[in-house]
Amino acid sequence: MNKTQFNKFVEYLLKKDNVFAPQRNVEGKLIIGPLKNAKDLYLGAELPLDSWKWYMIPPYQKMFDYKGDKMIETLPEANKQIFLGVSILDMQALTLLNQIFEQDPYYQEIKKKTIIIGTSHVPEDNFSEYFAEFEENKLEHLQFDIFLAVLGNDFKLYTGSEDGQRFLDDFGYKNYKHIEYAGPIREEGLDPQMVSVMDGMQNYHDQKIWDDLGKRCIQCGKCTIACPTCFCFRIFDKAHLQRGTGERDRCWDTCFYNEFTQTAGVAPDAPKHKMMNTTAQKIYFWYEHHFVRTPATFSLPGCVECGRCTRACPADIDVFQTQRDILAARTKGKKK
Amino acid sequence: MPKTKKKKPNVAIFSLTSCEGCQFSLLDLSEKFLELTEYVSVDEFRMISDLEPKKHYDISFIEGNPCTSKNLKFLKQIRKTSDIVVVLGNCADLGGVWEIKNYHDYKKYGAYVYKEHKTIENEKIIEVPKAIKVDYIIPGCPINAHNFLDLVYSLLNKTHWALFQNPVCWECQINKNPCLLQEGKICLGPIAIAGCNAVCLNSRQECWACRGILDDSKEKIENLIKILQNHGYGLEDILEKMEFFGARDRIEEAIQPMKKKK
Repeated sequence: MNKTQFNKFVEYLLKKDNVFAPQRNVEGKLIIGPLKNAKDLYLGAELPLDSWKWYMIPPYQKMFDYKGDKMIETLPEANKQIFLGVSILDMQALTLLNQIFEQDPYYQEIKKKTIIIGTSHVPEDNFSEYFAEFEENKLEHLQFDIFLAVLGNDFKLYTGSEDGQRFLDDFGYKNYKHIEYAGPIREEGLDPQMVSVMDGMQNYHDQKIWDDLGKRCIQCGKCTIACPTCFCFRIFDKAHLQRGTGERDRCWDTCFYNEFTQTAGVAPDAPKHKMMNTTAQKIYFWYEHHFVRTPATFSLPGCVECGRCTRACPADIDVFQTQRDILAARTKGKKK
Repeated sequence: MPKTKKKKPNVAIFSLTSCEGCQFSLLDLSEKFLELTEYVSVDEFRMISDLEPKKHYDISFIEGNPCTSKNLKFLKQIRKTSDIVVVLGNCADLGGVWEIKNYHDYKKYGAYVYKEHKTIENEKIIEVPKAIKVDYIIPGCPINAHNFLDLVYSLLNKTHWALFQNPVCWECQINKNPCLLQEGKICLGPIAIAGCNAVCLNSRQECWACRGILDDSKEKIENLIKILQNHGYGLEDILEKMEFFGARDRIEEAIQPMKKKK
């Protein structure tokens, strides 16, 4: 697909459904938002500051209404949407979210109505081997609908789902290759970097790394919100005006906040108990989730190395540096 | 309309020394507020009309600070006649801008500002939760009127209500705003209670913690002060920003054990 054809394709998408794509805002920051004009579209190596999860798991979501003891379920009123220009890293993150929320009706309702169009643009710095080079055989382990592989000035097109095929057929473009999703795990096995960081955290624990981070982190939780794979939420009830009515909602939450691990005491006024009390405990918990628990549960890296947390952090905590520290502690521990 | 002929709970909205902006926030709810009057009877709301004082109120909302002895006496009277007392807004909750004088030589400034300062009552500011026992606090300058609605709905339904103990950064990042701390400004977002939808940050104005400070925030505050000092600010600059909405005393209280150690 050449440039002119591609521009026509974008116009076609804009006429069809709501398109979300990375674009520069008035302050010059690259942010994902509804695309109004084809010329605003940014396709390139820079990653947007926010991620696609804003549109897959909205920050606030109503789960159901209740009246007395009756539950009135409400699925999100999702419009058809197209994600245009999803980088291969973010595709990895969406593939992980698809697995995590496999049984979640709210996520699935939105996913059903979403077309994901990926690109092979990736940022140059801070890049692990696992994601770095785009190769065709990596695509069969990612979930997407259409993929644009950059070839000089042109794009080579792949489809990853029937929806994607139908989309291109309707547009009238036939020169694409279909790729069947073969599950998340690659033939060559798990990502070696992921395995060694996991091993480092589990078997060569170095408390000093976490104590040092605990002296810098301000528990603002911006890293978890910027992170494309962080998905924790809190569930809360909201009373309505009429007696006995209300709704149950969920909103994004963060393991850095005090109420995240708070449990109720026995009586209404009993002292509350918290599992995590210090900053060091909280930041360890976050890293453990991404680098130990997620790989152990889903065989996928919990961190796609997009560096969004590092960019969002007011305390300049670098996720890549922490990984290097974990690996250094592992090497040191092995020598002993 | 409720089916039972039970008496509607009576509600009072009292105002002490303040700009009365919180009362306006309630009026800005427009039809939502009118809808509420079908379920509760509003027996005191100066912004709407002057009403005869009642002997008893089910729920009293207090806006403003007891700056004068007359205010203070009135406040104690409210506590006696009310079942539930709810603090409304920053002035009542943290002392408001009035509290700035607590951190300075207020007698001297009183004499500087007012010609006949001897006739002016110029005492230390007391926060409402320190003067009387309060049941709920709705913070902010002005309040987020939706917090008010949620609380009233919860009280009518007898369900639990509490603010989230999340920092302003939570909403700020969800709104995709650039981080002012990273830009080297003094922003108290990481230690301030969210619920305002990061309204100041949405207009690129730093957070001055008008909604108060999070619980258990000792480590956060210490680390935040370290970051700000790395940006080149002295402790005095930081404390000054904390004074605007009366959060400084809470912050100093929270980090007290650290200071003692030193």
